[in-house]
Amino acid sequence: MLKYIKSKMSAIKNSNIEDIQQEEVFETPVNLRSSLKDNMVLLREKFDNSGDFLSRELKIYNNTINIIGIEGMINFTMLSDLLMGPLMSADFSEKTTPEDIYSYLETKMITSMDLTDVYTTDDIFTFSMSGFIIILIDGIAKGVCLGAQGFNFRSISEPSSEVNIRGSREGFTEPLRINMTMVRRRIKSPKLKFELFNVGSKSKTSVCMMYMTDTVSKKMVREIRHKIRHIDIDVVLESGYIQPFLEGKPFSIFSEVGTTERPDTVCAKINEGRVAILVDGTPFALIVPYLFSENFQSFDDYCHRPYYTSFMRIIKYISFAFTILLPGLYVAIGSFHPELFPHSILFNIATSQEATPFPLVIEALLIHFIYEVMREAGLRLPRPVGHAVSIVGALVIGDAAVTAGLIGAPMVMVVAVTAISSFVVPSIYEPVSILRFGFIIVGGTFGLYGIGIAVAALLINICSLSEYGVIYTAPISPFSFKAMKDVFVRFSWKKMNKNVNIKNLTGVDMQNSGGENS
Amino acid sequence: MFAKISGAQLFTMLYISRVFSSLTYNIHTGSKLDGLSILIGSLISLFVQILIVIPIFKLYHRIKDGNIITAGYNCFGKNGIVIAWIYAIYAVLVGINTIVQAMFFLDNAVYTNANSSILVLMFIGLVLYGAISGVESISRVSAIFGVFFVVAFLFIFTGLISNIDIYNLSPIFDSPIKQIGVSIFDNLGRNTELVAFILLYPYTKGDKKKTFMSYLILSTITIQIIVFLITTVLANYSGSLVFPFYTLTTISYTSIFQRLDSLHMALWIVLAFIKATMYIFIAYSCISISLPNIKKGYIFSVIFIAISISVYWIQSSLDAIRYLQGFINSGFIVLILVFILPLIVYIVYIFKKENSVDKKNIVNTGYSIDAI
Repeated sequence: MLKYIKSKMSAIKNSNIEDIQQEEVFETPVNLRSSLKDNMVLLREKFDNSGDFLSRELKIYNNTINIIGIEGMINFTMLSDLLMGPLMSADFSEKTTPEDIYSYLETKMITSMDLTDVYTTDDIFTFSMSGFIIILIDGIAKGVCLGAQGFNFRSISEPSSEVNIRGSREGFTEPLRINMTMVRRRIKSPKLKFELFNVGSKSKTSVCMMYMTDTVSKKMVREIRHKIRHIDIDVVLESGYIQPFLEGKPFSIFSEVGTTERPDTVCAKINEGRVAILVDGTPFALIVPYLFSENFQSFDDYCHRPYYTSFMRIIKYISFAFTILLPGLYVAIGSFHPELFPHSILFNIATSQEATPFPLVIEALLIHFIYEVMREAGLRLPRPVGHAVSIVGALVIGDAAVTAGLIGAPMVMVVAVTAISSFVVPSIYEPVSILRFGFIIVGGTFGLYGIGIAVAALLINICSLSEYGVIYTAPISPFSFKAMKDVFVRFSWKKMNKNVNIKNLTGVDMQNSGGENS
Repeated sequence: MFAKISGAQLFTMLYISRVFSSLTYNIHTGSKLDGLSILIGSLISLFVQILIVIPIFKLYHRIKDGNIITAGYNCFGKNGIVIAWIYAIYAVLVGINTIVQAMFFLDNAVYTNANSSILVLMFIGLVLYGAISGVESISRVSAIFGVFFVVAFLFIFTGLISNIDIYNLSPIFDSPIKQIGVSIFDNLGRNTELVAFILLYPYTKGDKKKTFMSYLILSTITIQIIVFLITTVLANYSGSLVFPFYTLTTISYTSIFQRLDSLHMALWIVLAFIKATMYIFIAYSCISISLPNIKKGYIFSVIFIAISISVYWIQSSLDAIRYLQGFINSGFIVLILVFILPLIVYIVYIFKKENSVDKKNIVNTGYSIDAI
């Protein structure tokens, strides 16, 4: 029996080893050969005879070259100007060797900035998928890679999720290089550094990490670089795919990684010593580290007068408290502690409750559920239909439900205030909508005691977040008066401009902080 | 390096914890003191508390790193475990007492018809979650709740101003010296945060003396205000109440809210949470120093089971509640833990250091709070 188990175990072990070896063979890059025919066989294998794989064979006297690319990703006018034209006008003869052609391509074709050598089929695959063309010459075991991208993309437009009154109307778009230039145009400093990575074992998506070398923490850059390099995922189609890999606590309600669609916001953040991460194919940049108080800041805050901005900030914080707590508190007080209300309000609530069949907690859950359904439907549907859904929703919730005696009028008002408040701080809509349901349930089950417990648990959860040496709740807690110039109130630029850094913003002295060059 | 929280954060934790005790307990419980004698006693007690912490400050000045537990190990070798466990058991008992008090209040004043088991379990779960999150998280939460407390307290105070009757602050007719003396000792006993201070000392950066003094002065002022309100508003009636401050909040009225007792209840819960969490963390830190190879999860599991069983058992008996409260708030216990034990350790430490040829042996026994 033992022998049988042992033999089975060794068989499993061996099969694992074989799997790993097979994987290794599969992962090992295949070097190009000097024979063009062999290379083409290898490439057709690599591309698995894909329909968009383009190859054009040309004869230059006794030499054969092959131009490779992907359909729809190459600008043919550029290809003609950069490659075909110079090749046709070149002074080749029958004595021209493959090395001469290669040397000509490398040294004379300086009209293209993106020019590099490729040595493996993997390189060819990666570059061609990014819109490069590759020239292979018979007799040479490497190729020339030439940037001639010509794919279509959405033009730069106003960010849809971060609308501002003042400030730039430019928002990030999908191609990474264009997004990088948008940042570079705004910070004309040699301290601005871009680092590129390929993430995703299948998608090989380009990811760009950007930071200011003079303000960023060296340790933080090292940590983020390490995390990006070790992201184990097949495909990266959006920045949200890599966001969890940069966060510290997976079960936290709030995220220590921020997102923005605005290049000016990215510039402001990296100038404060943060790291921004752009992902090819998505108009959203990630910002690391991100503080809780930053959810309440918008680009307009820095364009308006400080007193108005401060007023708006306080409004935002109150709205946030309303969004999370108002329905829960209403249910808790109405169900367990009605003595807290003044008599007149209590009378109105009691009257409306008399006419409805459900207890407050069920009413609140029901109406919030319907509201979320309406919201989701309005969001996903085509815009004209979405408006119709909103109107139907407003009529159903606002009028019909009250008239039918299903829901009390005060509850409709509570939901309306909560819903509107939730849009004041859109960046934390997701956690807030979930928390709202949680607070309604605990408020309706345990009253103010439940609310107190839930608030304490939520605060412990938020206060335990501390990634990259920066505490998520800073500078509120741990409190730093110096760093409070841009939290609940905003001081004028004359007071804020000096030493704007994550260190000063949080009031936390990060370990090993300092410039990359320091 | 194990300094994790600032002096201000430590101050807030201790302050909130102390205020919870003041809001919870009837000032007259067990002592039948006049309001004025409590006011005078708490003021004098301030100076007594400054005096009794001198040995611990002297000890910490010498050892630089570590706390009384590690110093105990340095002085007594493996027998230092006794000191570690004395403090750990005390911290667990304070934690249990806090939970019991909070639940007793909820059971008797707020949710008289509710099943207390669920409420207790929820609270213990929350306290453990907070303690597992660590001293930094607790301190940050306490700073936020500190602000809420001040606002809520001002709200309640404003609502009570019209009810204050200064004539209720009657002179002390019956043996004033004795009453003040008892009040001093009573105040000392209720300041269990002195023990918390000496155990959290090494986790704190900055000027600890300043932190300690700020804590003592501000907590004394707050207690004075609470006692003043209870005495001047409720007069002799306060002596017969279990939760006098809660009664005050039922009287308190503002134009927005009819009564403020629910506000007091919500405030009470979060203050109890901070206090219990802080002491459970302290208990964990004491145990983990003495048992460095035991995993955090095991220690907290044992603490969870111990607390759950104890709270259920104690809560079911009024005598057990009284006994535990009496034990925790006994001035002698605080005096032993804050003054006598540190003094013994300090003397032994000095004696050993002066008689030791190789001084390094004294300060390096392998027991450290770094691992926590």
